Amino acid sequence: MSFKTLSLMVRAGGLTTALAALVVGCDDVLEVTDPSRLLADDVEVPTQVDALMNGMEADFVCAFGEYVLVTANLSDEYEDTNAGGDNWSLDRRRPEAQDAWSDNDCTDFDLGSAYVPASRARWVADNMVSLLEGWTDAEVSDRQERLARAYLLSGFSLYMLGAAHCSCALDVGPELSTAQVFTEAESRFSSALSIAQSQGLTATENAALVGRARVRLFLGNTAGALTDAQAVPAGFVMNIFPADTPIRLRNRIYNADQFNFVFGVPPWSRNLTTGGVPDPRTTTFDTGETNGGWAPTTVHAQQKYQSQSAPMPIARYAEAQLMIAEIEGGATAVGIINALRAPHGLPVFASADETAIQNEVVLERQRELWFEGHRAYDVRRLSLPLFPASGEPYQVGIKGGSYGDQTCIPMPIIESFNNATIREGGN
Amino acid sequence: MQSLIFAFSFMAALVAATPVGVDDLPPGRTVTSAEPVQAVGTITGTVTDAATGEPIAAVQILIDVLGIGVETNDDGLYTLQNVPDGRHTLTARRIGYERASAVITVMPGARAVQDFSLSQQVIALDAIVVTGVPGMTRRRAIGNAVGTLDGSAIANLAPVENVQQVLEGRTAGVNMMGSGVVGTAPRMRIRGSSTFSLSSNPLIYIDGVRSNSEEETGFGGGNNLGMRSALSSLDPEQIERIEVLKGPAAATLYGTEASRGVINIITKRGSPGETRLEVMVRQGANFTVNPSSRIAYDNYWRNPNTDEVSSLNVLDHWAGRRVFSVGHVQGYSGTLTGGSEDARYFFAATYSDETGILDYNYAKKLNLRTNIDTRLSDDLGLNLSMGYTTSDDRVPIDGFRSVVEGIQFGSPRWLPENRCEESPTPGCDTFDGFISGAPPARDRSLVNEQGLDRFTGGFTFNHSAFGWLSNRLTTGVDFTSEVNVQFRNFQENDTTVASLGSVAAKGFRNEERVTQLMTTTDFASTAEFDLTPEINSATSVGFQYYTRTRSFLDAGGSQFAGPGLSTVDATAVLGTPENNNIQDKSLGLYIQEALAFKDRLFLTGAVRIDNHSAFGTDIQWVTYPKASVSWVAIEESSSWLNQLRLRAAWGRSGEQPAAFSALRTWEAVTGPQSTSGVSPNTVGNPDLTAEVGEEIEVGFDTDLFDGRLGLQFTYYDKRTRDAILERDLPPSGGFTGQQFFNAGQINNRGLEAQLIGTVIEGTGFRWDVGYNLSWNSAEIQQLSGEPGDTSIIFNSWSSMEHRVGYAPNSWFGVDVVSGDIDPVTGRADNAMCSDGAGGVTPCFDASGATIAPRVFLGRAIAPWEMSLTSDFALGRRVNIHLLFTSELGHKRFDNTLRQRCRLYRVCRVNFFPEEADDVELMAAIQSGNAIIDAWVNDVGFVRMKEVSVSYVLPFWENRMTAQIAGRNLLLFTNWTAADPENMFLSGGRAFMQQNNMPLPQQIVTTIRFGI
Repeated sequence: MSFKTLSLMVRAGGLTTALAALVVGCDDVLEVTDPSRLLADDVEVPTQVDALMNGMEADFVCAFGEYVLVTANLSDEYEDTNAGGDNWSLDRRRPEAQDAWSDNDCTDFDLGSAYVPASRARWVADNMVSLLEGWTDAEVSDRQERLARAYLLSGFSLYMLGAAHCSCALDVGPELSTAQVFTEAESRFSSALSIAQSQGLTATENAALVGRARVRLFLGNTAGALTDAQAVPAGFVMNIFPADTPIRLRNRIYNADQFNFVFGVPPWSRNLTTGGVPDPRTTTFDTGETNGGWAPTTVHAQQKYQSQSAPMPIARYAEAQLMIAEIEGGATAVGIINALRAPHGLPVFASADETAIQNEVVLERQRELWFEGHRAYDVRRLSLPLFPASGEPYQVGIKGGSYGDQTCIPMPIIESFNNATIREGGN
Repeated sequence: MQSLIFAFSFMAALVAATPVGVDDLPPGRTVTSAEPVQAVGTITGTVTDAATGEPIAAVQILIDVLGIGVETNDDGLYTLQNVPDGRHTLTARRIGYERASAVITVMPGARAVQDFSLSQQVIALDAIVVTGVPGMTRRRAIGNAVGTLDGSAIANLAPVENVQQVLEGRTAGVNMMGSGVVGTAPRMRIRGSSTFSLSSNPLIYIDGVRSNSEEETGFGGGNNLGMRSALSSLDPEQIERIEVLKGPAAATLYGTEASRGVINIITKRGSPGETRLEVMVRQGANFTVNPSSRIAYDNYWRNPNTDEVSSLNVLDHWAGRRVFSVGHVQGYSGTLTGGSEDARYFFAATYSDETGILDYNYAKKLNLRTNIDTRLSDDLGLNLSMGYTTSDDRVPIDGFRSVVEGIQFGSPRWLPENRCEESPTPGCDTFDGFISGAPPARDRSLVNEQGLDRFTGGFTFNHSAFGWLSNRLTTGVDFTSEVNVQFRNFQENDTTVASLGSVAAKGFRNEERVTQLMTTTDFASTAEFDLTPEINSATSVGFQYYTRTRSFLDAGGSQFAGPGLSTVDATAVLGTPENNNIQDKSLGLYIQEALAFKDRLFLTGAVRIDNHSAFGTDIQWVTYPKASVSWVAIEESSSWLNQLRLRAAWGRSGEQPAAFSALRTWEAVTGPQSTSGVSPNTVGNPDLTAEVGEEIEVGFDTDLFDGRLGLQFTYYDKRTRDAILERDLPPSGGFTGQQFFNAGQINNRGLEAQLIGTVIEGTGFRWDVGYNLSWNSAEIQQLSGEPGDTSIIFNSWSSMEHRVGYAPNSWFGVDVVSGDIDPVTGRADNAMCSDGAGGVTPCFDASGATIAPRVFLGRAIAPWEMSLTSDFALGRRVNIHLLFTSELGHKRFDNTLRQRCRLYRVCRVNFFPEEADDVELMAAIQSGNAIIDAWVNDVGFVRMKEVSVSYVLPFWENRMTAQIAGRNLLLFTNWTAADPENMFLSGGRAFMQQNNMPLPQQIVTTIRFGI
């Protein structure tokens, strides 16, 4: 090889190397943009607190709507009117951990999961608590009010996880029983209550009282539950506010039975009577629509929610009163029942038999709290009779199979298979 | 863009510095050089392929002792003039073909005729292959196997609609899984499954430009619906050859994204000579034979009023009325080629129009191509390639809610007399036995269309300087624009309304517009010189810069107010529009040194470094080295062993994660009262790095018995480290969806063998056979790196699992091995299941809950693939071609069976449990989703993929060929569902099959002629 040749080679190699170095040296040569997403470092800062709070509220609206929908289907409030079989397991009271619907998330047509959106709502609320506690009042306006709200929504999210599911997990941790989750919820409600009372946040305070009373009742702390329930003032109600758009904020019940017609109120839950007369709180109407295609089931819809933006109560005075009735029974319960029925012109209930009174409390809860997310929880915690009974044919002659006897939803495998703590046996 | 400018500047500088006038005649081209003699004659003739009978261009016709010769033109014709009279030995040579000689006597002033029929070399050692470096690399110099397919030859053997059909069954280790719907295309895998969650489709280059390789475009879901492939938009008629680099050992220089293999598509180019027009006309039909036995079942029903059980096979019930029709297949192609030594051109236009076995399933495609090669100076050449495709298709639902579903789940219950008695609703008398209404009303009401425009184009400068330096600059783009529409107008037809329900019958429209722009900038330089008279050195350096920008806009709505409305804004319920952009960029550099000893021993070493925008913030450059050796131990030997080459290669390449997968992000959401909010979006993974495939490949290529038998054998051992897994996030962590992470290691070992032989070669008859065999053993070595992590159930519903010690995508579930069946209830009593350790254990506990462990049930991807070709040449005019393909050793989930027996309960055993004799089936029916082994069944098959008879018509001067060909005419399988080759392609139900359209049979006639 001649010197000239070698020289040329070196020059060619050098040029190529220099060219490569130029390219590599350009900072933006591999830089990409994503105009539809926000980097976490740019979001989790005090200046974005309003966006974070709004997002937390939206996640809760989504979660609560799905919770009410899913538990209505698990209980006797709703029946599935779909032709597709994916949701039937829940409607049959035979939900399985691997069911396809169990990891859906506030979608339009499909049954959503109670687990996924509630888990996100819980995490977002707890994350909000963590962020707010790390910021100062100087950095964030109304920090205490926001903190109380975050604690409150975390508490209700935990309640939804525990009430609907046989078990669940938090923060990729071990499998928790409903009682364990409710203990966590009680803690959040207490924190919300403490801040609300110190800041004069009445609505938050009352909602926290209702929420804490619920979980205390389940945990056996009836005295504590009674105290909380009794502190709720007459007329109190806290709603969430769904919206027509986007889809995830819709009123899931209206969306289901008057819009997509994928669920309907079955014969045994329609137009219930109280004291032998129709109870206007459970009035339904025939939509005339079918969504089953080859297995048409005409959809009968509830009338409690008449639009996509109809508010949904998450805590209210009537529930607090019914908890008092359940705990105290006797004349107190009878009085509460009649007080709740009076505005609807329903017959007066009278009994001194405690069993009859407690049965009437259950019936009153079914009617007064119709489609507010309580029925499945009542069936489960009070071991109420199942209807249709276990073993009865499922939607006779149409979809096949039979009803089961599950009253809670197994933790979906999207959690158990992907949660390293549970997978490795921690619990 | 900066790199492009730099590269141009560099090229310009080199060009300017290059001395002009260097003698650089094109290699391999010989011109007549004999001195005129007084007594001369002429030899003419035609050279054709011995197997196909097709003419061969660029064959050197030589009389060695006289030093004269000429090349054949595109028609395979040659004329050698001024040949001295007397007896001469005439030799025909072409790369890729066995040499042929003939002794011929030339008379003064006379014209002698000598035709040649050349056999393709099994191992064409001097064939040029694309390796990523500039200059021409011969096959003998590389240490790995390269699958090379001659596009023209294959298109001449049988009609091929897309690139996938060219590859199918012709390249060992390339596996296809697909659909029977016209317009969709099979999904491709090379050398098994070496990734958990990233795409398995190989990297595609068209004339050196990286191209769109997406395998799922258009509207789709958890089934085959709309699974069109970008690769299908190419026209096989315009492809010269396809080269398949199967793994990291071969594809190292292609860097990140290349570990799943690289497919180089080289389009046809012009050749010097007179302008030549080639025309192809194709007419044919798609059809299905005896669908009643293939996709329909006897389904049962008990009349609740009479308690009578009856059965119905709806297609038998419909005898005389056709559900499926005969679809017209037509294609037209014209190519214009010619030019001079300095400028050559190739123009082509192809139009194809195919209708499936449902008359509303069609695919229309127009492909235009212009390729121009010019010599700008003695040292600088420019190759311009431009391809444009415009296509329009409509595909029906394939899977859930399809026509096939209506057939497979139909039963007596849906007969008018039963249906109307059970549910006297409007339209109850229109189902006629089909569960989804009498076809095709409901299916036809759904329009799923794609309109596509695609431009692929680029130019390559080839520059040589000083006699030892070669430079190549390729720049190009691949731009794809899709308009996808899924639409159902307001339905008034009783059948459709009854079948859909009143809500869905109001219709909907979803429309999405997708554009994707890919750019390529590839510069490489090779310095080649002789270190000694026996040792040659070639040093190459290069860099590649690729970008991809994908934009997506979607809008939709449902429930039209009335007939005639069809736009999104005419729907009562507007959906939420989606708009996003995805961008990724990659940059790589390499250096390679190749040494050749006596043109027999070749050593190559290289290293490439890559960076990619999708790598995590903590990851910078990834390094991919390679080394290979090739030794031509025996060449042109006169013994029975004519040729033997031994080869070995080792190398690494990668596969990048999806764009933005490294980043933790939030997304904008609407809060209550229309406020602006944010919600968790992706959790990201800052530690994410590329999958790295490392592969050792050894093998040999040999020609035996005077080229009558050739064998190519390859063993590979590929290890994919940092295999990327997309795992569902546990919702309790707040972020839902999926997260990519480097999960473990997958080993793929395998054998590939290709045998080509001439069984009989006689006067007027020749029989060639080819046999491809591949075996792949995939095994997960490590998962996730977290202690105790030995399995991941990624497909929860159908129980597909990644588990250490088994192939990715394996079926796991409770395996029922014995038990009794209660003749009254049909329940499996005393059912015993495999305990996974060779013993048995009770399947259920006292409460009926499933307690047996999940054990391995089978692989989802076939470990064995085989293909057999058989070509008979009768005389010089008739050729008969056969191609059989086979896949064995894998299982698929038959969800049709599961739905029939467990969900809809229309199987015979649901009504006659006393007849049940399959404990596995009965246990699966009673167990919920816990027991699946009755649904996971053997899906092995042997299929006659192609058969054709070609005839060269005697009356056309410039060669006219008539051919009749069939596709998918015979199938041998025990698979329980419709077709072993189709399945759901994506989503949580991949590798399942439910209500899929079987592959249609096809018969096509083709006429080709030159003008």
